[in-house]
Parts: sequence; structure tokens; C-alpha cells
Amino acid sequence: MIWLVMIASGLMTFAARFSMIGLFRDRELPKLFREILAYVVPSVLAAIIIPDILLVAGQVAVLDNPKIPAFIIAMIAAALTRNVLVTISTGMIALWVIRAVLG
Amino acid sequence: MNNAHPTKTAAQEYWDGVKDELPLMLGVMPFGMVFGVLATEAGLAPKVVMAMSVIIFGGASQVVFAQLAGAGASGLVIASTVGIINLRHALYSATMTQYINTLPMRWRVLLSYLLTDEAFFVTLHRMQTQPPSPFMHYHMLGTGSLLWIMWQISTAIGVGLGELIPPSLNLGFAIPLTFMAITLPQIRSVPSLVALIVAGIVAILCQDWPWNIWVITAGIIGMVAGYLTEQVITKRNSAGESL
Repeated sequence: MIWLVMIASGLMTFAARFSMIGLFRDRELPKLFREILAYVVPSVLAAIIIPDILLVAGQVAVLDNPKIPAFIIAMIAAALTRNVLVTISTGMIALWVIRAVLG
Repeated sequence: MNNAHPTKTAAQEYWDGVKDELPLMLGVMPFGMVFGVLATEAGLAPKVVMAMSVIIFGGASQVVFAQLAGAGASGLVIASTVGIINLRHALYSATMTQYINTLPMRWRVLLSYLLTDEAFFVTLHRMQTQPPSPFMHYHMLGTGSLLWIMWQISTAIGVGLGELIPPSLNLGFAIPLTFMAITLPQIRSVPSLVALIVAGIVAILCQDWPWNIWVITAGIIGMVAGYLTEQVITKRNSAGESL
């Protein structure tokens, strides 16, 4: 049963990834479509990141949420260094330090 | 032959892809380990957990799969949730097809299987910032194959050493950090900032909608908001010029 569910999930995932690559052979996407797709990176990433940072147990939590200051520190590191390794390490260390300080 | 800009060989493109993807492993490895731990704790057998990383190969959706399976959700709910979370990859598919739409079918099938968030963002950056080359699809093979191998290894580490990784390390936090690290430097225009803010607000407001449909909803509304902002700015600029 679990295998069936997994294979169905895998097929649907592949279908999404293959959809447009399979459909558009030697053809261009319509112009409007391309202009909207130009914003795929900030939109989809915000949709993934922002709930991840702001929500604690399904509720928006601003106070008592160490993820927010740690994330802001990591953003500063990203803006200053533009380095992925530095950004991730700074964010993780910031989270550990803030949680240790707040007990 | 123009020696000033020699076309990169297939091997150079491939290794560039691997090199460009490498720093992200600092975030991807903890992510895979977190998945391995969560899935094992949810009661899934080790071989099921390992097979899932091959069959689905999509981090966030695998975590949700494990959580739903652990909570006793029906197979229909699990599969449709995974399908909807990964619908965003259709947007990546539409973006990437502009660069690979002349390739033979076997290439397009392989690159589609490897079309994850992390491989897509890194290869899209190469496509947008470097001149096209006949072998540029090898860049995506490089980003995708490194990610695939490390995803399998980190899943196995999570399954094998799950109990040794203290939850207090909050390794899951590495996931949003990774995504932010690759995108923040790319957000330079007002429309992309608007897209980001609108998508974030919609994602929060639609949290209670079923099957995690908020991921794709927020993504699409954010993209349209960015596009409309761009239209308004363009119109205003051209109006200003005519005065």
C-alpha cells in the first residue's frame, strides 16, 4: 500500500516537472507566459520560506520566535558576502546562540 | 573559432554545474538527514524511506509525506498533497523548457526527473548570466546529479544515525536559509520585491487551505503581482518621457 502511494506521488511529481518540458518541443512559450515566469524565483521561494520562518505550530509568532532574528542576521550576512556557505553557517550559529541565550 | 569566448565543452559545463551546486550541500545535507530522521520516527521502514528519496526526489514533499503517513492519513490524501506541493515544479518546467526545448526526448526526461528547487535555481542563474552554448544542458546534469547523490547519502545518514542527531540542533532551519542564500542576491528590482512580499502574505493567509495548496497558490499570485508591478512601472516611465 505504502509503495503504491509512493509511486503515485513520484509519478505526479515527475508529471509536474516534465509537463512543459515535454509539451514545448522546438516551440517558444507565449510572451505573456514568459514575462510572468520571470518572477518564479522570488514568488515560489517566498511561498516556501516565509511560512517556515513566521509560523510556530501553525500560528504566526513574532515574539518568542528565535528563527526571525536568526534569519535576519543570515540575510545581512547574505547581503554582505553573497556567499552561500557563510550565509547558512551564520544563520545556524545565530539560531543556536539566540536559543542558548534565551534558555 | 573565437578564442576570446571559446565555447565550453560538455565536461566543463558539467563540472561548472557541480561546482556551482556544491555550496548548497551545506543546507541540503541537513535537510536530507532531517527527512531521514522524521520519516523513520513516523514509522516508515528504512527501505521505504530510502526508496522515497529515489522515487519522489523532492525534499519538502517527502517531509510532508512522512508526517501525513505518521498521522495515519489516507493514501489518497498523501499522494494528492505531494502532487500539489510539487505542482510548483511545472513553473520551473515552463521556465527551463526555454533553454532545453531542442534536446532529444531522453535528455528532457532525465533533466525533468532532476528538476528540483536547488538544481533549477542554480542552473537558471547560469542560463541567464552566461552565453548559450550547445552543451549548456550539461550544467543542469551537473547540478542535478550532485544533488541526487547527496540527497540519497544524507537520507541514509538520517535513517542510520537518526537517534544520534539531537533535535535541539534545529537542522531543519538550514532549508529556508539555503533558499534565501541563493535568491536574495538575485532580488534587485521593485517588481521582484513585490512578488516576494505578495507571495509571502498569500502563503500565510492560505495556510488553512487543504492539501498544502497554498504553495502553488502563493507562487502564482506572487508571479502575477510581480508582472503587474512591472507593467505599471513601465507605463509610468513611458508616460513620464512623453511629458
